[in-house]
Amino acid sequence: MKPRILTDSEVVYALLTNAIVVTPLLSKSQVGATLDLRLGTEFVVKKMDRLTHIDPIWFNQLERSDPEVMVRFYETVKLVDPTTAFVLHPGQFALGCTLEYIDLPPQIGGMLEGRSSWAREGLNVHSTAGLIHPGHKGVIVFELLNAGSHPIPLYPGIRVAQLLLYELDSVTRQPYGLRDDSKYSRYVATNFGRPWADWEFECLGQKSRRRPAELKREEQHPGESERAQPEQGRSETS
Amino acid sequence: MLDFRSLFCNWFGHLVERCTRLDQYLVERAAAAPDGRNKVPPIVIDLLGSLALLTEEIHRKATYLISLSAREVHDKRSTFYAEARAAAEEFRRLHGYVSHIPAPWPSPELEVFLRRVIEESGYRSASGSLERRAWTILLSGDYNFSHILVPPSAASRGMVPQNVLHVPAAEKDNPLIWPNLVHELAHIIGVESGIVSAAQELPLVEGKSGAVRKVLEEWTHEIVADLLATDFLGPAYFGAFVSFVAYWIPYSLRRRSRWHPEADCRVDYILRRLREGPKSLESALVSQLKTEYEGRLQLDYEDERFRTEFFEDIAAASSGKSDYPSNADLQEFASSIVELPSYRKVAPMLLTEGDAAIIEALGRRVTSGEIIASRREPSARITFGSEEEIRGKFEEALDQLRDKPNKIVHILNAALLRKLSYEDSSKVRAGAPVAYTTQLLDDFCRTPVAGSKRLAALRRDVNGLDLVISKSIEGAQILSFYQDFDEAS
Repeated sequence: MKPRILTDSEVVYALLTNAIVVTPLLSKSQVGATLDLRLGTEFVVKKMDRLTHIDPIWFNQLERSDPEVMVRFYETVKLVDPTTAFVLHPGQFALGCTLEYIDLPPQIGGMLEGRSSWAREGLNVHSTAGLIHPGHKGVIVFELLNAGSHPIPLYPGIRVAQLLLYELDSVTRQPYGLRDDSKYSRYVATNFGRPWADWEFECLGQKSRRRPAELKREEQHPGESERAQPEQGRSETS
Repeated sequence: MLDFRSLFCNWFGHLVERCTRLDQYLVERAAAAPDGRNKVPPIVIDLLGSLALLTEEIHRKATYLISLSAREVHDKRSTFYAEARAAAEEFRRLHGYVSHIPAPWPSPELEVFLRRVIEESGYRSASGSLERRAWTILLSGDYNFSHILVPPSAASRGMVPQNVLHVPAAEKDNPLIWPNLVHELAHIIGVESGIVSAAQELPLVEGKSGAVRKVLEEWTHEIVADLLATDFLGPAYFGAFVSFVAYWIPYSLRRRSRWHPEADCRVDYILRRLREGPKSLESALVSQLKTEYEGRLQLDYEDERFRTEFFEDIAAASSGKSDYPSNADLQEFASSIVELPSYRKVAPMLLTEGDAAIIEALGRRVTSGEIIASRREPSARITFGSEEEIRGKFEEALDQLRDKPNKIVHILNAALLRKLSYEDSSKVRAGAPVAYTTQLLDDFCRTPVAGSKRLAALRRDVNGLDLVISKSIEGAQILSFYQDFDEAS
């Protein structure tokens, strides 16, 4: 058996009966064979001047010592006014999120895609991670990339993506939000990725000899480890 | 029997909470100051020093007192009050210097919050007094409503009157206290909708003698604003009012003045109005808040010295009866106001049991995906029983899809419910009305504030709803921005 894609009538029926919750649904024009999704108000970019490279082993240990520590590597831009744009420059990557809060039941999943109009300007809304698991609850995070030649102004509230909904043949045993490894469930704002939270890096960190010294240095001199990273990285690769 | 210790801890819990918020605000303010400006003026340094002393004093004393029996607390309180009072007075003196900040930092969240409340209530300003440029928010030392004359612009001649809503700078990030600002905004609505003038012409006012009539006319503004704010926000306004009146340091609101009746009378007519709403909310929210307020009063009466020094003397203020209307008069007056046609035209419908159900769902401590629930109500609006029916009438079905985010009134009341129902089975005493705030005091006073894991847990718990509030406000703002165009098309 194969998953079945929902028709427009089925989507409307599911929305009317609250089997699927997409809120706020601002306009009738959002609903068709797919659901158009609007851009939210928060954008997250990496602070390039502070982060030399991504070291998931180090980040895993850092985050375990202080769950809030990673915030300092990111900058959040909040645009509440619908007439103020976040300008995405050519080649720039930023995270955004949907204005809509989406609650899918355990048997319905989604596939995120860009809208063709924006795609023709070079706007990518996801980077190979467009699958929304059955049982997803929360906003959907966009991985925005301007692959075009000109800067693109992004206004909160504009329709930039669409969600194709599919129904599984039977209810999934583990809806996304109930899985132990679901890192991005029930968020209401843009949140950055945390690949280093995977258990593999915990294992790698425990077996890595460089962990204790780095962690110790970070605890004694917060902030210095970032500056120390490049030298250490080079010495390891050489 | 009076649980003196818990009430006492309750009050100091609020005081420390307030001081901490002010501290955070000042730090943020210094960080946000433009380059070239003195980021931390000397007065702020003094203020922070005093704040630290006060916090330390409270920490030390509260830790000591918690370890004593209720009897010992009673015996030793005078020493404690003297020291704490000296520290508090120094704090108040210094706070006076920064109570009015000449160049307020913009506070878009507050403004959006107020606009959203008015929009949800369905009120449309006829004279444009609620338009964007007709009023402003000033971060100040107190809640207040005033008029100022601003210099003329290119489009106007002469000085232009501007409505100013004052909000305490230390409370600018506390949504549970924001309903007090809705009361201030209701002053504008009460006047421009004609409710105040209609109320002043009621037989109950006109039948009074000169002095009492004059007082009633003055108080009408305040009573109308209280009633409107209650109708706009339900128990959330009562919660903010109780918190403000019972714990605010100046305490001038506790007794009657030229501008408003004493707090007890105000509580009575607000409660009466709330009891016309859903019963489930009354049991969950209103009774608890009333108990907390009465407990606060009981503490006042219990300790004469504490009352005369720390609070205004309510009994003395209430003794001059001749020139003031009685409480019974005021209650009757408030009941007459809500029956006025002009009032009914403006006030939104009272909260329903359906609203109470949404509030209950949002107020659960352990929430799942329904935390931003859709406001579509299938039983009331949906006429399609199956997907086949929709195929035949697709456009009609689409018309029923318009959806709005949670109403502010739901979220605020849910946050209040969550706060009041916060419990920790190991520490809550059965029936203690102030269990939550006692718990807060433990967290604030027994451990360093910044390092308290327990405090972090409390904050995280409330932060979830904070995010829902901001998400909901943003959605509503974008909704209203595109609404006109969408409807026209």
